[in-house]
Amino acid sequence: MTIKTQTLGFSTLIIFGIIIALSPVDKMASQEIDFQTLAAELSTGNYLQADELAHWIIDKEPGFSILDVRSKEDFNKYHIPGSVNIPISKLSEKELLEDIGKDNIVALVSNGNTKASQAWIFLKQFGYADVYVLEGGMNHWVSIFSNPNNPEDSYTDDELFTYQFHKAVGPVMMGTTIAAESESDNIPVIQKKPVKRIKKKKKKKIDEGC
Amino acid sequence: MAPFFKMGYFGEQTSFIIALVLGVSFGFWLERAGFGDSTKLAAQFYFKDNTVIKVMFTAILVAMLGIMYLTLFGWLDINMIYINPTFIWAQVVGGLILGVGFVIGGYCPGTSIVGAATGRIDGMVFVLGALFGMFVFGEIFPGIDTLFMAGDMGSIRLPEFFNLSTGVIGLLVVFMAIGMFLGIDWLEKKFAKEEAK
Repeated sequence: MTIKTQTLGFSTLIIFGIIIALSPVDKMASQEIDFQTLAAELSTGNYLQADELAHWIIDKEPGFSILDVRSKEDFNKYHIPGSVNIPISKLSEKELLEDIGKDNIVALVSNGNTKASQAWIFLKQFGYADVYVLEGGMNHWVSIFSNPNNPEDSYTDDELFTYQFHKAVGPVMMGTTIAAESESDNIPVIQKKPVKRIKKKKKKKIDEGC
Repeated sequence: MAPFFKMGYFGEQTSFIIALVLGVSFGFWLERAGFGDSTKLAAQFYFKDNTVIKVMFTAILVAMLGIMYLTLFGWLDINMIYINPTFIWAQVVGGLILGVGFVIGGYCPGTSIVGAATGRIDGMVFVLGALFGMFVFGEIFPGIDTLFMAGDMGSIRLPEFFNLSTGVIGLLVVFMAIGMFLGIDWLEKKFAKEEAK
């Protein structure tokens, strides 16, 4: 008796199909915490500098979200413009996170680094690829934008520009509308020079497919 | 554990080289299957030669079963695979346009490159036409962005849509493919008979 190639092929297919139908594929696909990968990523820099974030906000960069994990009260007092508030205790409710695209770069904000770093682990588990913790959190943010340090006597151009940048964007970054105080007292105004943009380490969204 | 690139086994630069190798071999096997020839591709639409549809369904089955079994063995993290988001109405319209282009030109985008690379003039013209189409799309895009986003369903998969387990969907797709293979052979014979009359 000879078996037709077609029959053989189809039977193999059906056997493979039945095996897969009875197998716990979904269970295997559900994510488990891979501590090794996480630990490896923790050791590489996952911090975002306040200045870099401020530049993104000003340049209206597409493709990033700011997630504030402080409590609602704290958020209402002051927050980074454009940030979304999800208190860390509610991060496990996945529906709240739906507005934040997984392709986006996510900047996590808390008072310091601790809560944001905890939220970082959550988001990594939810499959967010580019998650960063705002270095120093709101405390650092407020200190540099509401009361930037005057450059020392022997300041470099970069320091001066950083100072002027903080001073100029401070009102916006603090969510207040008070105009910046004039600053002509002790800082000489430097002639125009193109302000160097901080290079973005943005990863391009990779479109896969045919 | 796969996917190797997202697991960080190699960098972006290496990934380009791998992409090149995969792309070239894809083109090579398209050509070897005879898909660099528009007459062969167009014959599909008259049910005279069903190689195209058989190859496509074989590819679907191999990829689907491959992904499912690799997941089952824990060799692949399916959550890290990019799933193209579904915009159902946008894709219905886009699919129709592509289909009409396929019937008229006798190529689909990949095979037209293969045809052009093997020196077929109709392939080259098709590639130019595709580039022109991209240009037109880019120019009129601001006017059609509502259509472009129409029917957003997110990165949905069949198991979620039908609320069945992934494995059961796999079996159903296998049955569908087998039905398709048998049906297409039947059609081919039928059309061959009518042709003979």
